[in-house]
Amino acid sequence: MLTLVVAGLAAGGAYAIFGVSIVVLHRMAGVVNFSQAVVGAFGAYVAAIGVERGWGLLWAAVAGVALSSALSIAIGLLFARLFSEAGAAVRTAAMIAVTVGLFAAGFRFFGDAPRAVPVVLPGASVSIGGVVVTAGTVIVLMIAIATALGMGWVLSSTRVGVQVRAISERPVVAELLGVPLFARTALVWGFTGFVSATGMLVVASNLPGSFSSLGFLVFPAMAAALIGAFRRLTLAFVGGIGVGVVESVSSYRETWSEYRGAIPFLIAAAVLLWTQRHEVWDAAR
Amino acid sequence: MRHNLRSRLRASLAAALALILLATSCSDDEDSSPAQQEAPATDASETPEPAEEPAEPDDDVQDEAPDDSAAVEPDDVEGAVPSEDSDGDEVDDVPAETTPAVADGTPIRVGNVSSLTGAGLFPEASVAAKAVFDRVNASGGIGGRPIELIIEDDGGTPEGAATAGRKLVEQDNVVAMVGSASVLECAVNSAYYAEQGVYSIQGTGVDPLCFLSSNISPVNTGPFAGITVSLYYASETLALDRVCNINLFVIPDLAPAFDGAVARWESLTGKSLTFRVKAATLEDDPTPLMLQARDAGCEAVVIDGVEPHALAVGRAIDAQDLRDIVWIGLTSYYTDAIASQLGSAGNGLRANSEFEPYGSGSPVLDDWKDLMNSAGVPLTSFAQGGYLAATIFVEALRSIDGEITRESVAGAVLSLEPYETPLLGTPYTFGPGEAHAPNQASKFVELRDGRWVTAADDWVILPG
Amino acid sequence: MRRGDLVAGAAYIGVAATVSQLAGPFWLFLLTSAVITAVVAVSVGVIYDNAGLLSLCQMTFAGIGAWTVGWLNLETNLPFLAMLPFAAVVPFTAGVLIGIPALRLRGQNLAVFTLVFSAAVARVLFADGFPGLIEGNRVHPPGFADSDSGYFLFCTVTLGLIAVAVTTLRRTRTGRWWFSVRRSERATAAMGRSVVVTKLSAFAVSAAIAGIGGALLLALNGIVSGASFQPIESMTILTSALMFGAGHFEGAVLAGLFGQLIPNFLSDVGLPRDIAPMLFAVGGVIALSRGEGGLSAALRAAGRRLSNLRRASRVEAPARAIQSLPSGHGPTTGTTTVLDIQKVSVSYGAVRALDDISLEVPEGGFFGLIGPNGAGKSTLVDALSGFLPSHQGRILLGGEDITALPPRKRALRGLRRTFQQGHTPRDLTVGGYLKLASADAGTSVAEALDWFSLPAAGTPIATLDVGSRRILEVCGALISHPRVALLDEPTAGLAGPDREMFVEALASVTSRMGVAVLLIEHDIEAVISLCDSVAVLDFGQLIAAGSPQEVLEDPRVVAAYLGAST
Repeated sequence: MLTLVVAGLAAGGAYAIFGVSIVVLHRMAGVVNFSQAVVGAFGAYVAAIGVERGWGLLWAAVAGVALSSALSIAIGLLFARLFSEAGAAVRTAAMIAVTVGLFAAGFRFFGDAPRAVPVVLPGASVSIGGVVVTAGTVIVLMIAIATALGMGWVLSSTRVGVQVRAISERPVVAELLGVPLFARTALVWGFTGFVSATGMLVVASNLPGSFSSLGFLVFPAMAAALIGAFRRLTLAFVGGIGVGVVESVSSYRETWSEYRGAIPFLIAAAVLLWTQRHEVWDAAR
Repeated sequence: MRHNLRSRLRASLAAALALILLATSCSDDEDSSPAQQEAPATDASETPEPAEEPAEPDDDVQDEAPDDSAAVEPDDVEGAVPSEDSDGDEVDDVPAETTPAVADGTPIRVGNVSSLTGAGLFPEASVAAKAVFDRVNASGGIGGRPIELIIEDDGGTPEGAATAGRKLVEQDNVVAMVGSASVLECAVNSAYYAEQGVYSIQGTGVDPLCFLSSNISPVNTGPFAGITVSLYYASETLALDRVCNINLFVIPDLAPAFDGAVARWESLTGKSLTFRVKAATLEDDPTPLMLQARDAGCEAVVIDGVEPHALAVGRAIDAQDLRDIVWIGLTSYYTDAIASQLGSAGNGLRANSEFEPYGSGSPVLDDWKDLMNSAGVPLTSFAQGGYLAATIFVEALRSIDGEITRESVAGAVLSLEPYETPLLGTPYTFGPGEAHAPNQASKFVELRDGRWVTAADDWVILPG
Repeated sequence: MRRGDLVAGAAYIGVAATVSQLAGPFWLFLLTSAVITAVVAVSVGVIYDNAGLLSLCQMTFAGIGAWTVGWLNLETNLPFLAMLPFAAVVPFTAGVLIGIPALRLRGQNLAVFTLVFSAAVARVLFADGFPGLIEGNRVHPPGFADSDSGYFLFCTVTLGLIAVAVTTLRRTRTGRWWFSVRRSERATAAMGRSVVVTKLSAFAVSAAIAGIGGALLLALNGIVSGASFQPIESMTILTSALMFGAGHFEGAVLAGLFGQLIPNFLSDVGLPRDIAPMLFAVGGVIALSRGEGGLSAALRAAGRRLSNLRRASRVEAPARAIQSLPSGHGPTTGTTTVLDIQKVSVSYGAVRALDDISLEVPEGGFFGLIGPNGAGKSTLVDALSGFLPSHQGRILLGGEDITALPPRKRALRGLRRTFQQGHTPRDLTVGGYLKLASADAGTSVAEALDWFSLPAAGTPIATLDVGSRRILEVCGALISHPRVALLDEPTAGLAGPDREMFVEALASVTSRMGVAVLLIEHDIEAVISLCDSVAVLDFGQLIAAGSPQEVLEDPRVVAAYLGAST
């Protein structure tokens, strides 16, 4: 059982890192990014191609992360240009359309063949309860925790964070505050793109690494973000780890494992039933 | 306001253009699955074009009987694949023996439904089949009639497969399907083929209906018999006691057939699995399942999945130090891309090969290799499937006396003699049965320092 | 309008019949697939374009419909037509079950929840294969339609019937509430309607339609694979529905047609099929950036513009003098208190938005509530109408404690309100909106239109100017004969004579009805002319109350206003 808990940390860390990124972006830009994992997958694949072509691990990784960040910024600019005044539903719908396009583009560019996403830190590992926890897993967990705590602090306690939050709710205010659109978008979207790509680079090396399977990591990540109600970074982190661990543990008995695919949904549904037990009204009066 | 709208429009149009341009231009160098090997000619997006060029306005196949009289000694042309009764040397003189003639009759239209775009690509089988037909056409075709292979992409989607099948049968009026390679084409089209009296010599069958249909007979072993034969290899050939199974290949419709594959091994051997577990999703991390297998005391684990799983499994074996167990992957693991990407980290990982292992260097592969190399087709297991399907189909065509129509081809397929070739462990058959799964054998390959080598030269053949 | 529908229906059947005779079997197959895709697109139209809910599990419902029929086909000997209703009922039920936890959610949360749900169903239910798939147990269309052209016609007619049903439903109360909840959940609840029931009905109806689509797909192919019903498929169909505007029938049909024909066209010209989703993505983004409703809405708007050009003059609110009303306001203020506000306080963290407010609003007549911006007026209205998650103090309506009641129940007990932003659903007609608002109370729509000289009942709200919409909302609040109407800046956006006329009409209508009005207004003149007593809020404090004259002379009030206005 302990084996499974520890083994579930690897996947849980991946869910957490994307879940936290989704929440950060939602709080700072007001968009639920269904393409969070796909954008990371672009970076991981570019890094993989770079290694195949002999750019060297470091440069390939830098190129991949840079591409993901740039792609994320491009999406951010598109949203800032077209949807800054739109309601949440329209922005979400547009994000879904963009995600569908990115998946199709990914198939086109990379096919669905596996790529050896480079192992960033080979060798280093710790053994816990008979399970080897790779350095990658540890790093993913650390990035996720650092992002959750760090961004939580930035958002709640710094002037920049308060400003950015105000902006995400009222884009017009942003212009009045004199924060230039490009800098703001680049900062927020670039950062989440950077985190996702870094996380993806690390986790991709021990997951079945086809483009679509990496992109579909967004489903459990969304469950994690939902557990955090798209607001609480630490809850999203805990949710991601929780989904990963419960999935892993549930493979223990075959009768449970039949229903493993439903675990993110069941956890999210339970959390929702609890958190939404009081009627809550939409923001607009 | 107006300005705002216009700039929005401009921005979106620019984005649209950029996306489309990128999409159409990118595939030249990045679409190839085994990246370093694939020649540009196999680009998925280009393959349908050459196939369609010889199309002629007259697509009625029925009125072609007179042309047959002009056929030059059809019986003299041997099948290009070495049959059991002919030794390997004969392969080389086949082209010489054939009377070079131009096949300028009305083309015999043959269909192929393959996954060329979307998730899970199989681009080699169709081009390999086409290479076989092109060689036949270059030496006079079938009684002066060239074979035209029309390749349709199903995009890996049921709608795409249904549309492709119907287009080939109804628009293009093909006489048969040859060398198709798709993850779900049989599931979608098998009933339709039965209805239309169309027969398919499947190059790569994956979904269960490929092996359960009256009108489809795949040349490959497939994932289900693949699991059974791998378990059989572990328990009988390797004589290991504690045999286990991990099911990672979680895509719609497959689960019951995998259960059936395990049940079949149990009834063949009278043994039962020490441990069995299924992944929840295709994108699951296999590590927890593999650790459980270790904890359950497995000596051999048959582990399925698609090509990407091979990487994850190989890396987990290395990272978690699980080399004490014999890990046997499905034939989907057996690709050069996996070998080179795992390198020595993958040492010991085994997989079943549904045909004579393509990298084995055995002389029985010479004709296939020459043909693939000259046509620029990468040497993969899928290319073997396409090549075999096309070769068997040519054999069936040559057996037809008289008109070549959908009906006569059906007759030829149904009365096909068991086709023996050293590329297959069991003879290929079709015939009138309700279900066909002729390939019940595999050889096993093992990863050593970034290369797949044949683990043992004997076929493992499932009994009766 | 109805005649136009008939003509359109006849033309639709005519085109379908002609196509079924002319097209070859392959094209019939493609077109049948397109029609089935259009059925699912209609379901997206109901859930997104009508009710404003983002659902990412429409293909999952289609899959559940197909699964149900596949199972019935395997287990029973029912003919297809007998199984088809189950394909609607089972997804409908699933929609209700999923809706219960999901529909407190809105926008993005709902989208995410439905996405996670669709992933779960795909992994647990569809991964095991559809019933009959392995057994080769095909589902056949009904005997009379068991040919390429026959089944094409069958699907076309089914799509047509679904469209008629949806159109009819949109004209019923249930359907009108969908538009209302799309515009504003608060406004819906403020009219006494349960938001959850409204959303649930839209969700379940759309699930049922999608389920029928799935069953039709099953009978077209004989068997289906779970691959057709994956989450990404739901995302793709949503994208193309957005692009073409599936809220209108022609948009759904276009989504179906292009969804099938574009990939086929691409592979015909030698391009990869998977460019198609990219095209839809780009089209969907463009459509969304240009406003809601997609291509079909744009086409309709263009059509309207054309026909308006022809008609030359547009429906203007006729500037009729208000008749049959006593001039001036009636001094009808009663002596009993109808709305008793006892020590209401609201805090947001350290900020006290309302501090211990106690007011007694007497029966009948106008009670003015004024104060500078940010004084807490709207917060008080929110507290009174039940939209605040928590506040201290008690609120009594006609002696009954309503503090713990949700907005809907307060509305049903006779407390109505309007909103500063204006929440009339643009997709409804004036008459349709008033029917929703009236809750079948005494006043007829025609009569109510007459009160404020509103345009004819058939006028779409979308064509009204902001001022008229504001008046319409007030009219909606009054038509149900409430005991108290909380009017939040009803004259904003009105100018000059319109405003005077409206104020006059308002006075006359409410006095005749005997409804008490709590009026929040910036227009001090209107307050003075209408109200018998006035309360003034500043920074959440009640700083003065009494007759208008007294209050306006109060130095604290003067200071508050001067302070705020400089």
